[in-house]
Amino acid sequence: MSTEQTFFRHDNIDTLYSQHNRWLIGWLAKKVGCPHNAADLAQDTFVRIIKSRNALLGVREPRAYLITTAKRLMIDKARRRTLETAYLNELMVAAETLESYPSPEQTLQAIEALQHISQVLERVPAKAQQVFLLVYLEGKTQTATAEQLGITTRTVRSHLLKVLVSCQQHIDF
Amino acid sequence: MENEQTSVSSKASSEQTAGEITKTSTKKIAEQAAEWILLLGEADSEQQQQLRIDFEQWQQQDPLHAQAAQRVEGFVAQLSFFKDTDKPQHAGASKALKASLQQSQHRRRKKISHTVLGLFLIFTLPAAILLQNYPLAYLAADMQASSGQWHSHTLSDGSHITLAGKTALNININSQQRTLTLLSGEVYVDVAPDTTRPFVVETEYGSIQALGTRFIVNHLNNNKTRLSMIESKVLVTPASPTATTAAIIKAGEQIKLSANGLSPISVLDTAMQENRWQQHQLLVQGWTLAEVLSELSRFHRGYIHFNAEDLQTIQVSAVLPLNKPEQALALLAESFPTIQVQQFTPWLVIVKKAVKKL
Repeated sequence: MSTEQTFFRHDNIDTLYSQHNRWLIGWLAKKVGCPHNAADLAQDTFVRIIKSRNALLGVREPRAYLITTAKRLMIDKARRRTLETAYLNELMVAAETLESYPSPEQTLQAIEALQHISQVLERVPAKAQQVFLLVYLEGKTQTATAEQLGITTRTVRSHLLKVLVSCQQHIDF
Repeated sequence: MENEQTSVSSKASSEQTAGEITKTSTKKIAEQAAEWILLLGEADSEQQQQLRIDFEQWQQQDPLHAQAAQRVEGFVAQLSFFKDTDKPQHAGASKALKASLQQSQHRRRKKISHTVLGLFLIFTLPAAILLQNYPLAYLAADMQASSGQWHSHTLSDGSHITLAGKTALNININSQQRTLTLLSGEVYVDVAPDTTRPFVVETEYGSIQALGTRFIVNHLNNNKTRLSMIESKVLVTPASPTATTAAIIKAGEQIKLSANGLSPISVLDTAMQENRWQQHQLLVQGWTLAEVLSELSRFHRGYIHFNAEDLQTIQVSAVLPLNKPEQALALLAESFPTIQVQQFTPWLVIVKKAVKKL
């Protein structure tokens, strides 16, 4: 049964690729204004679909599915770029003082961790993001946070719970 | 409070005996796990013990509970890496997340229009290019060793140096002088004799002039530099203007340099040093577990998260491999059933006190 499923899925991706790759590149080229980047992006989109576990299950509109995947991919890349730039800039500033600082490996891994953290936080409202970072990044107590923002500790807890629940959601890819 | 918890737990189990895990009960489990983490975070040390036992109990009721707990704990631990306000990671994380969250707000408002997509950059930086954007001093460092590595080099004057774990240093050798500046980490120096050019190791808190010797300089995390003499002697000059005179340190001696000047001279365990540098082993006797983990983390590729207070009471006497820190961690887990070593991601390891199983 499972071997059948594998072949089935494989067959589907091949079909998806042969029927829609050219179209996808065209669509992306219009969006990003560069055919070379569009080709890379299209490639990455298919790779992501192949890697994902639920790929093509119940997909009725292949082109819409490809667009959604490509958009998610671009968002992830943009997020990565933003995090990387801000993080590295800050490290450069800190490096002025003679302190011990992380290795390039550690930095890469730190940025990946920040990607995950950002993805989790993006799923909750801005207020919850703010409260969560004050408590779990800045290390403030719940009471101090409540005071600072002019809200009740009960509200602070409710915001924190939102994030702690969101982080358990399985991110598909 | 305790009663409330018990009744919530039994409700969860009755939903499961119904045979079907519905979306609502998954959300309920997620909320419960989140509640537990919040409770543990707020509790004082008295309540912690009992809460941990209760939490363990809740986890053992169902593998889904345990999974939920792992996810939340892992997430919170990821953040704690950036928590230390003294480290550059903290400001980095703060700024990076602020920028990223702002970007996502902007995206929500614009709802991915043509223009926004056009601005997205496609490239991600591979490791080699990342180095180009790297902190100036680190980049400028002539030699770097990242975790888990022991790098030996022969310098142009014939001296040998070995870098241990995460280390960065600068070398300046010309016809008049030989200077090694230790930026971070630990280095073993074996100086080639040369009467025309003194060999000096510069550190933040002072300089060490070799008088034809072998010694180790360690840039410690607590704003100190430690010098350990293996052979012959050196002249140590503190950087601080208020400090007293320089000192000559001889083989078998150890001294610390800080902003306040020089510490008193203490005795060096040369056997331990030989083990460290020759066999790449860490010989510890009566160290607290927290101290051992701090040392191991210098050689571990990723991040070891632990609560120093929690593990202070555990004393360790062991020989641990420094070139295979994962093995060292496994050894510790085996030897101390009271602790738990969990590998969350290839990068993140969490070490904490284990709770007794029922």
